[in-house]
Amino acid sequence: MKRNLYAGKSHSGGLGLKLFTDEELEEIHLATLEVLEKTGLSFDDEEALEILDGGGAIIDKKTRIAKLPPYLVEDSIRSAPSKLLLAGRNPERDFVMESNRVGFTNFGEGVFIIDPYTGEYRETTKADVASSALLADYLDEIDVYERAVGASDVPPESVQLHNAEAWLPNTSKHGFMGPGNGYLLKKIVEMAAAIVGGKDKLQERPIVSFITCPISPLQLVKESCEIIIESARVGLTCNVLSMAMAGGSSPVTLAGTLVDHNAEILGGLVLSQLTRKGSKFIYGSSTTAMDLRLAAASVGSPECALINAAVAHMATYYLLPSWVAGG
Amino acid sequence: MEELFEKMAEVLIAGKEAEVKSLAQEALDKGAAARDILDKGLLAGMDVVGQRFKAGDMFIPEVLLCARCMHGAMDILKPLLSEADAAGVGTYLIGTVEGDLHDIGKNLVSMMLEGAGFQVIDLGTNITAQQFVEAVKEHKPDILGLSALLTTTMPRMEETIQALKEAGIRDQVKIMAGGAPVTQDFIEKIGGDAYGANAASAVEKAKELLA
Repeated sequence: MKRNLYAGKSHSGGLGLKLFTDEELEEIHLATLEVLEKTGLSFDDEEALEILDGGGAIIDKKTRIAKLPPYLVEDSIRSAPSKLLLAGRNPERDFVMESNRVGFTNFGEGVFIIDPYTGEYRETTKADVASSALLADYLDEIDVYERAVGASDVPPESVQLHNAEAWLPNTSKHGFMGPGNGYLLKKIVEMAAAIVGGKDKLQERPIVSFITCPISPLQLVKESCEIIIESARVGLTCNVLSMAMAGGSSPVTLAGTLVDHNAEILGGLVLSQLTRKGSKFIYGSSTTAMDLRLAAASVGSPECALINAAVAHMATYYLLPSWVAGG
Repeated sequence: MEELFEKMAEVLIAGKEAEVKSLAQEALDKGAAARDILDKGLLAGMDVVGQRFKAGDMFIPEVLLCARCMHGAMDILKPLLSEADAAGVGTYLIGTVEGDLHDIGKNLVSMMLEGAGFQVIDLGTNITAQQFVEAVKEHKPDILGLSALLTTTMPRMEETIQALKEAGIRDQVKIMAGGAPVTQDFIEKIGGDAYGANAASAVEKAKELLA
């Protein structure tokens, strides 16, 4: 039998794990503001402290701790962009981070590999970096590439340059990597600019983004500060990604860990926005529970999944793009 | 007295600090030697804790509680122990290398070593090769442990061993290293003595080095 059209209808699309009510998110947010205001974060970099000082943070030069007033944190959340273009060398491979669109990446920073041909368990090499990019390039399921492994067969001082040289030509998808420090970041920018046809072109077509990790609890080391500052200056995305371990480097309760994690990421965000307002930023997480029998980070655990959902929730609450760990 | 030592070990394994301390004091009052209390009461208990942890029957926070009990009792015993006895099984100097601020692994290893009867001197993180050299000269440890999480800071381990050679004191100390990117091969390559893949095996290797 014939059925007419509905006059306007709300649809739900897909499934999500809704962990928190808005009021609960607000609770986490307020707890984080309190930690940032009263305890502060350690920023182990002179320039970072100066930038924070200039922006209204309360600095102690001796302890290198910056306390961030709530308005500063909330201004930074507001000024960071909600939408990011992750460009590939091939525009058909672009990925837009926006609202709760979901994409997949491979995980990163591996140092050992089971050789796919010999089965030997060995350290990874520059050739492996190249192969990993090529593999990620081929797999449809992978939307963006993260530097999967690192070269152990090159000088450590320039390892990130070698890693960049290995992966950049082997995928036309967007790539994320930890550049090591501010100086190397600038060199990698030059490499990417050479590929797309200049620094201006790189702004239009940003084919690379950078990652840095705070150390839980509540520390940003010199290299992390440099990476946040230089990414902001050069106009490329910085993914500040904590890996707090509940029961190890953060409170054993998941909510407490979420507050610690949130404080670290928002601290990085404040530095980014004070360096340059509107800088591109990703709220990153690999935070999980520590396996308290084996004293190991257990990235594939149910707690990790819960924290991932919670982090994505927080980021959406802040209107920030997010990046969470898989299993 | 044997019963007292057994009870002490029991309450230590149960993580009851106040009781451990009062039993230690009771043993002293009854004329037991401080060294005996340490060995037969406290370390005997920590030994069981170590085994249970290795078997996956006890968790890190429980081990920490037990270690705290031992520290509490040690506060009472330390003034009565000779320097040699206080050093226990051996003196272990540990630190995270220059440029690296990660310390969870190092802290876990330190805790397990103390539980096994070592005297542990923890220098902290971001320790330069020179600082390690000075510390070895000052504390004269049996073993030096180097920790690193970052591949970019692993070369500092080789630097540290080099610095000890240049200072002429490399032979005075056994060197161990550990951390996520570290391997047995790497240790051998840089001239170290042993590698611990995790906290429990670090303790075993440490004991082997001193045997």
